[in-house]
Order: sequence, then structure tokens, then C-alpha cells
Amino acid sequence: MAWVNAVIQGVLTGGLYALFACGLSLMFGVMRVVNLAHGDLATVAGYVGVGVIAAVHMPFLWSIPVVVVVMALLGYVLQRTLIQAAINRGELTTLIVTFGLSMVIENALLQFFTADSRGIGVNQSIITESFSIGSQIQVAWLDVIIFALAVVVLLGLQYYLSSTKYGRLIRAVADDREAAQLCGADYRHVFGIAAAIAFGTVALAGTAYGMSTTIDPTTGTQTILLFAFAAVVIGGLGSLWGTLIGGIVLGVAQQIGAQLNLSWELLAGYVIFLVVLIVRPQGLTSRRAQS
Amino acid sequence: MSSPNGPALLQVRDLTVHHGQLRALSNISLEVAAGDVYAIIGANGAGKTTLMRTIAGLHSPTEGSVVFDGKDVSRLRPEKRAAAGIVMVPEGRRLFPSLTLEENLQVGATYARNRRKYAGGRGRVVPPAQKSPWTIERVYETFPFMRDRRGQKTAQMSGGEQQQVAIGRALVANPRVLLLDELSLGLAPVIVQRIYGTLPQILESGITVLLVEQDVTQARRVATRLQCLLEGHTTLEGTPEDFTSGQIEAAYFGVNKGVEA
Repeated sequence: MAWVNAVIQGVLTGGLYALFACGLSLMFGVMRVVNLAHGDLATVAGYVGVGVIAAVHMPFLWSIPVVVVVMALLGYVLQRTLIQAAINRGELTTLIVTFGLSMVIENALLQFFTADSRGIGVNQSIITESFSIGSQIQVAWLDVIIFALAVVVLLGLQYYLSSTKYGRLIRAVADDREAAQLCGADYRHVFGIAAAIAFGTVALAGTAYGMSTTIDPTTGTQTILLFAFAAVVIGGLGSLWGTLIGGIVLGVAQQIGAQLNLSWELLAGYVIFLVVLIVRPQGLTSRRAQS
Repeated sequence: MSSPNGPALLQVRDLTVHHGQLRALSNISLEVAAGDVYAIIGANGAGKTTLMRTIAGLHSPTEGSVVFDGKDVSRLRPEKRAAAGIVMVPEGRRLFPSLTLEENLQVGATYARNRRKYAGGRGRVVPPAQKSPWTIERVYETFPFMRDRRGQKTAQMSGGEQQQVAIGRALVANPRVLLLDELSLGLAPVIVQRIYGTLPQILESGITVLLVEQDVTQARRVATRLQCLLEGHTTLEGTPEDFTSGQIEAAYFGVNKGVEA
């Protein structure tokens, strides 16, 4: 029973990891930018959520759309300024710039919010309630909701990319930005939209993470970024549903590792990550391994 | 240099372009009048593609300017030039491989030039087709194979089909000047003939064409004016009737210059 429990918990955690990973995957797929500040942006979203709730006494669920919109706008602006400037100077520069951004964010958070960890919506019933399957398995409603949210976000992203004007432009620009320019598309604007979407999803992920555990200024680099990376690589770069599969594989591996020995939780996740990298470097879902 | 067809729609003035240290084009000038089929010929590395890319805005000139419809567009970004009516079919076709044929056309139509702005007035003769713009439907009529295969990814199509999709993608943007870079590259002669067979329809719709062609015979057949480039310099400019084959050959290869010309 304990093993079944580990798998269920692992799958549900995978939804959260997919939320973290899909924005990272989108930014890499479209702009070829590996956003090393991705995890910190999730943390920022968490703190923005904490701040919004505290400042305007907003019901905490209503703060979520506010945070998503704020982060999406921030994504567009950062893409059009800092990240675009880095892209213009070459791919390596984007790594250095986003790494720098990551450090700036982490230290700014330490400065303003101290190193204390915080939770979002602590003591809200939606966060604390759970239901049982049989006598031994307890499932938190929050985990189920986050998993469902991840599926909805991925479905929404898939619809947006396949069936809307800007979704089409995003795919076109990802294929060939110069050809897109010749079609009249300003790829920088399209990049901005893609970044806004990526930041919006990471805002959701950061808020969800802050609800299910706690965040502190170092959570972004020490936990979220690594998990997002692992999920993307396991699932396959540039594949949306791959991030969910990657997230689930990572989550289940961690839970099973923890079941064997509590201190093996993280280790098991990275072992799977390395195994996939060796055996199937293109990821589990490699629809477009090469184009 | 003014053409009998009226004032120039597209002018290139003393254009010099560098790729890093390399001087790719030196003082190139040309004047394309509305309704022209202007052909740039020349051997590999003559600078033809560089010239086209500079007109489209993908390269910045070191000196000189590109004037479109009386306005200097030298500082305009490529997407702005496309929206203004300078649309290029790039060398190698450059379709979007992960998009279907129809999606490729839809991307081309997204920023189609606002035809109303040009449809009337300002004392200019407006070609009739400015009022009946290119649509995806009209592209399907012109290239019938596309309709049944619109849901296919273009990567699975033959080179000739891809080339026609690339032309269609440019047409739905409703260009005033269509830049065709090396249409025939890598295609069988019969396919090339078929593609050039659609040129009259394009011209009838009021589009002016500037094309780059390695095949001199083909270029002479379709062009109303031509210019030959050699190592970034103009070696010959005029109407195809102005020159003998020998003169063109000499300009093309840069041999026997003094003797033949």
C-alpha cells in the first residue's frame, strides 16, 4: 500500500513540476533561451502573492489571477528589454544574463523579505483538507487541484499554440525568425508574448508551490529550477506534454526513493534524470527530435 | 534611367554592403518601375542574394539607400518593409517546417498590406489588382495542388511544391514589389518552367517583380530589364534587347570584357 501511495503522490507532484517546466520549455523552444532565472521568477510570483494578499486584503484565491497578470506583464517587459538585448549578443550571453538576473532576484528577495520561509494561504481549508483512499492513503485536495490545473494549463497552451493567430506566429518564429520577419512579423513582439505566457505559467507554479509547501529566497535556484530542468529533459525539450510526463516520472521517482529511504528522495529524482539523459538524451517524448 | 512605365517604384541608390570586412556590394544602383520584371543575373558569389536581402531589410547597407514609393526605407526593419509592400521569397524557400501548408499561408497573410491605403488616389495609376487582393483562396486557385494538401507539413513536399508555397506565402501579404531570390535553385527545368508559368498571373495582379536568377536564358525570357553583377559590381544594365548573348556572357563571367562589350 505504501508503494501505491508513493506512486499516487508522485504523479500528483508531477503536475506541479510540469507547471514549473512548461514555461522553461516554451522559452527554450521559441527563443532558444535557457532561462536560469526561471525558478527565481516562480519565487518572486510567490512573494508577489504574499504581498498582494497582505497589502489589499484580497481573498487569497483572487490574488492568483492578479499575480499571473503582473508576472506576464513583467515577462513581456523583461523579454523586450534585458533578454532581447542578450539574444542580440549571442546565445551564451542569454545564459550569463539570466544567471545574473537569478542572483539579483535572490539577493533582492533576501534584502526585502529576509531569509524566513513563508507559505501562501496558510490555514485555508482548501490547502489543508484531504480525502482518503482505502485506509492508508491520504490525498491532499490541493495536490489534486494543482495537478488538474497543470493539465488545464497544458491543454490551454496547446490550444493557443495550434489554433490562434499568435500561437501560429509563435511556432513560425520558433521555426525561422528571419522568414517570419519577411512575412511582416516583428519577432521581438512575438518573443515578448511567448515570454509573457511562460512567466504567467511560472507565476501559477510559484503560487501553487507556496501553497503546498513554503518558499524562501533560495527556493528558486535550489529546488524549482532544478526540478523544472529535470522534468524538461526527461520529457523531451520543446514538447509540452513531455513536461507533464517528465514531471510525473520525476515525482514518482522521488516518492519511491523516499519510500526506500527518506534521504534518497532527491537522489532518486536525479538518478532517473541521469539515466534518461544517458539512455534517451532526446527525452521520453521526442516527437520532433530533429528538425 | 527613368523607365517608360513611369516613375520608379523601387530605387536602389549607390548601395554598398559589407559582410564583416568583405565588401559584398559596391555602389549598386537600380530602378524598378511599376509593372517591371527586373532580373538580377550573375554567377555564384556575385552579390545577388546580398542585394535582395538588403532591399528586404535583412542586411544594413554601409552606404547608399533603398527608396520605395518615394520614401527612403533604408532604416526600416524588414517586417515594416514587408507590411509596406516589399515582400521577399527568400533563397532556399524558408518555409516554416512545423507548420502545415495552410498555416504557412496564414502566417503570410497575417500582416498583409492594407490595400485600402493604396487603392485610390494620390494621382498615381493604381494597377487594377490592387483592388482585388491576393487571398489564400486565390493562391489555391493559382496553384491547384495546394488545396488538397493544405493540412500537410511542407517538409514532406517536393522542392517545386515548397517553392510554390513560398511564393503563395509572399503573395497573400499583397506585395507591391515581389522579390524572388533564386526560384529555380535545385529544381528540375520542367518544374522551373511551371513556376515561371505563373508569373503572368502575378504581374496581371499589379505586382512588380524583382528577381535573381542564375539561369541567364530564363532571365532574358521573362525580364523587361536586367542587370548583371560580378563580384559585387554592376557589369551591365538595360533591357534584354540591348545586349547580345555574347555581351551578357562576358558581363556574367567577367572575361573578354574589352573585346565583346
